[in-house]
Amino acid sequence: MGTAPPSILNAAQVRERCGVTAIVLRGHFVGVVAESREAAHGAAALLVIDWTVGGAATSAAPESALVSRRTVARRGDAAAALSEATLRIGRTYAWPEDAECRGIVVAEVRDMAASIWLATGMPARLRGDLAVLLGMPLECIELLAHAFVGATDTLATYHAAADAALLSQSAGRPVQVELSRAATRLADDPPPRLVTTIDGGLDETGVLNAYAMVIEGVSRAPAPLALLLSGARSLPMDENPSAHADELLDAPLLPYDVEHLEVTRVSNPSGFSAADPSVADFAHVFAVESHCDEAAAAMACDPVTWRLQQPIDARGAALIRRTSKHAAWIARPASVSAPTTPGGIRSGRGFAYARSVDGRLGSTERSWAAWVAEVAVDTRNGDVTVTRVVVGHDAEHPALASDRASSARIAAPQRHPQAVEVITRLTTEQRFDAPARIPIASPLIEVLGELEIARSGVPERMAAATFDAAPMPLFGGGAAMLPAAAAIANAIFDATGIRLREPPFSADRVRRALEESRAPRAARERNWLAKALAGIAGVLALIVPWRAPIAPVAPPDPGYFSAAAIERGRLVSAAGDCAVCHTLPNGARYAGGLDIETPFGTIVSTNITPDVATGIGGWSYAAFERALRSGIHRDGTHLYPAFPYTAYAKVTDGDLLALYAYLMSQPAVRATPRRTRLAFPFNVRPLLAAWNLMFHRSGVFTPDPAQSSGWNRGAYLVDGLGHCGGCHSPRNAFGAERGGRDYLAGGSVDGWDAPALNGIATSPVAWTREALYDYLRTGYSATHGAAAGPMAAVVHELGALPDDDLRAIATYLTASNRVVAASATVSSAMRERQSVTLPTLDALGARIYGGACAVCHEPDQGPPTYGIKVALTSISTLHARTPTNLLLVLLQGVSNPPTAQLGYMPGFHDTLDDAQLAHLANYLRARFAPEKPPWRDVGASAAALRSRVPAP
Amino acid sequence: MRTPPPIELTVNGDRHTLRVAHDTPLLYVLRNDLEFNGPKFGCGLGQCGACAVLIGDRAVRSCMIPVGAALHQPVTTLEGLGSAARPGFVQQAFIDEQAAQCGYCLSGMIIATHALLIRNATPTEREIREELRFNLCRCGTHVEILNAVRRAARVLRAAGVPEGTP
Repeated sequence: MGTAPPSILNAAQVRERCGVTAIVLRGHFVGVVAESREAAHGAAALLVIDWTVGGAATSAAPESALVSRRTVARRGDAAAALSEATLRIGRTYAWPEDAECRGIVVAEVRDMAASIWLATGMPARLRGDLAVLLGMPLECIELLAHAFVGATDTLATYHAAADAALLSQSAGRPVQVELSRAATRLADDPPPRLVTTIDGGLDETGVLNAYAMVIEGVSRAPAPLALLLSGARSLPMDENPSAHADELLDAPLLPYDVEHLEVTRVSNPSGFSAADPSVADFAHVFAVESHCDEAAAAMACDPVTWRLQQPIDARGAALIRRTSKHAAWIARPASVSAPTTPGGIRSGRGFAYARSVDGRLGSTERSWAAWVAEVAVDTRNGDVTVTRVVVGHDAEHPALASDRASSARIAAPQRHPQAVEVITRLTTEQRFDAPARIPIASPLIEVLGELEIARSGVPERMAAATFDAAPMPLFGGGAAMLPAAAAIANAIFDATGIRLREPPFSADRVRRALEESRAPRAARERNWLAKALAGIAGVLALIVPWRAPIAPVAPPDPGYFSAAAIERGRLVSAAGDCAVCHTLPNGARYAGGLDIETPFGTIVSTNITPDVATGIGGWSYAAFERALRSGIHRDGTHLYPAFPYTAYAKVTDGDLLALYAYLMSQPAVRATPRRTRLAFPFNVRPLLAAWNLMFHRSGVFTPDPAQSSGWNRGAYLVDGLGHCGGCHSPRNAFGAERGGRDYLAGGSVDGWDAPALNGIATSPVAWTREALYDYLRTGYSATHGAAAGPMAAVVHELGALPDDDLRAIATYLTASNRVVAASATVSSAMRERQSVTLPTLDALGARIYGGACAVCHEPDQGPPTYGIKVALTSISTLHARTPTNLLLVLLQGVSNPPTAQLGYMPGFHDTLDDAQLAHLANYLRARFAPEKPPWRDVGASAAALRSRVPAP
Repeated sequence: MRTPPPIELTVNGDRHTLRVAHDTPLLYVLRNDLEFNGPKFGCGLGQCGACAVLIGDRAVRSCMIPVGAALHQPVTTLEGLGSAARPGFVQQAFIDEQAAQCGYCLSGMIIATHALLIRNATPTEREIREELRFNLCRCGTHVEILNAVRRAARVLRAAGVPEGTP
């Protein structure tokens, strides 16, 4: 951490936002306390923070010092034994972080009393850290158990507790903090993966006698980020009560008593937190037991038989026998897999075993678990269905020991919620807020050795802790689940011959692995464009004309430009939509910072306010004109053509000068948006010189004397200032707009489909000049629907333009359409469409429509409501080639209509899942656009779009 | 915290000056800031109708409308239609027909009935059903509610709108 704290440049403005209670700045810790989560997130996004005041923040210690390599267990001479092994199997396994896990904490800190409500945690350590953070004695800190819905993650809860405590102390009122696992990392850190490399040596009898294991990616005991950032002293490592967590994976966990053993741990600061030992346990067992399965397969031996031949303790061996017997496991070599059914389903079975020490209670009690999992893999789409699971569990627990009979009891087959959850997480790309899709068709989960034991015998240590109401930790429940991942992975291997060495085993990954195994030599798809560009980079360096920087000038004095010029510039700016890209939602106008997604990476819009240091205050008109006409920054570097200089080149000198006058007269905002960083070779800006040679045509717009003045004005606005083609024309592989027949033929922007404007309009009723004018003026056309998405912002900007300009645009675009504008056609076409016999409609979609949509959208029914009753019969969105725009509107709703009179629509992001959206979309398509073919894979599109759309 | 600029909202004939964000749902302002608890929070998605209020003479689902969109026309809630001592004629009709089970939907039903009768004092059976079609009642009081609407329409035809009713 650097010593100079950051400063917030716009704290006063953000504090004025409604809902904002306090902005907290403690050292490098910046937080917003607000009346609602939405208000807090909104305000936090607006903060402009200068992190570099007084010198860059630098790490106190070089990275390498923080990476440590340590041998945590050693027996015999693993290296020597490995070199003499008959068969050596070296494999690497990975375990990803579940970034969606989250923790919720409420803290109330007043004077010298802190009350913290949280769901789980490591109470002893947390109290110590909070005491340091808040500068209070330990006894003033009270931890209270509370079951928050969805709070599942220990580490996220831990960080959230520290954040909440610090915010509450600063704001002087109770604060709730909700953190996802991903948010507990520093922004630059990649999501951690725990990578385990195992080198195992087997002797001539197939017995594992040498084992070298390297575990990478565990971070040493972390301090809460709030503790580090606020500058409160962190505890020295050896005083830290959780230092023992780092030792958790020591030798006892390896379930086989191998003669020569060496376990090495490589820790790094961005790795998995050792504060979350259960994750490490799962990863460890997954690696060890997958490796065993690979060893057994290499020996052409049955995996259960093979394990029983290994040096293993008697109690574990007994559990393995009992579990496999109950599962009716019949020994056969692992390499023989079951035949594929005609439907493409392959079934398989897998075994895994774990021996663990319940470290969390500080005890040395051991626990054994064995899993038999049976799966069915659909080879067509990669779906993995876990059809049956048998879990055996045994533990050295007083309650269990006194009741050995019960551990031998075989429980009736049941749905075991914990097992269901574990299996679901392993076989799906889990999303926290999506309802869990249970991939278990008819789950038959049989648990041997009842887990209720854990509930009956609460250990005294737990009862004595402040946290006596805390849920039970790993023992019982957790330990029994450890072999789950390996058992399922081994079963997938048994079914398909595919070895998955990193969970989750989602349909997507299984399908990809299946495809790769079918075509092992198929050339991998490469980005040919990237290669081609990289290849010619050297050549271009020679021929590119060097563009000189233009020296900065003092900004023109206020009053230098006439009011008329500034007013004309305002209209030019509105027609050019400058603010749409150069303004963040709710941010300072023209201060930039908006992410613009392109196929080449994310480009961040710049600050075009007249601030000298961070904006264009130092730009002379010559520099400004060069940027707009040629795409060259004042300093001589090339701008990316996401900035539509290709269109602005057509703008007249008068308009450009007026725009300069207008922008230079706006309030200067000091704000430095993030730098655009594209991947190689797109980050080599001089390459754009070649791009410009190929695709950029300079030259101001020249009117066509054969056309009317309205037509010419429209063409100027559409092709020049309005740069309509930026979104509505398709782009080629180099990101250049296509012309000719593809001019305005439809493109895409921010995930939305921008419909074609060139006469191949997909709406059932062709656009008339009047309809288009209505749409541009009000954001709504009765015959085509309402503007939404990025177009809503455009209509909002166009609001500044006079009617004549909008009529001109409508004239030009409808003239290019070569379509007769006749209102009679409109109504007759609509009547005709309503009389179309309905095809078979999606029944579930119809019910969803009836409940969620009909009140506002059902034609001729229901009472008049606020806003416009958008008739679905003719809206273009339902006639489009893809369901993209429909799904985006359904997910996000319309919270910012171009005009308030249009009304609002709620988003269904949180109420309809992907399948329901698909049913609804299919129903709408079939009912309102019956002559169009049904959309395909709507559910998949919904899932993809959902991840792009923030929850409301 | 600085409060947002003041807005003026007319509810049940009284002018209120409020400092709330323009994008706050109207329902929240009515219930939380002005303590008009007639309109209910049901689904929050404009589907059930429990939150309906009149903006001008239209029944509007107030959970979906930002307060900023309701500044130019008067807002009327259930409280604006009458009181326990002096119920409005629609309210009286609902009492007379005992058209309530749990009562959660009733504010919306009564508002919707008002909106209908303002527009159309002699609604047909079909028009009544059409008007209330998207107001949900979970208890199954539909028969009584329809009776109440018919009764309210009869009262209106017989006597004209009673004095003081919006």
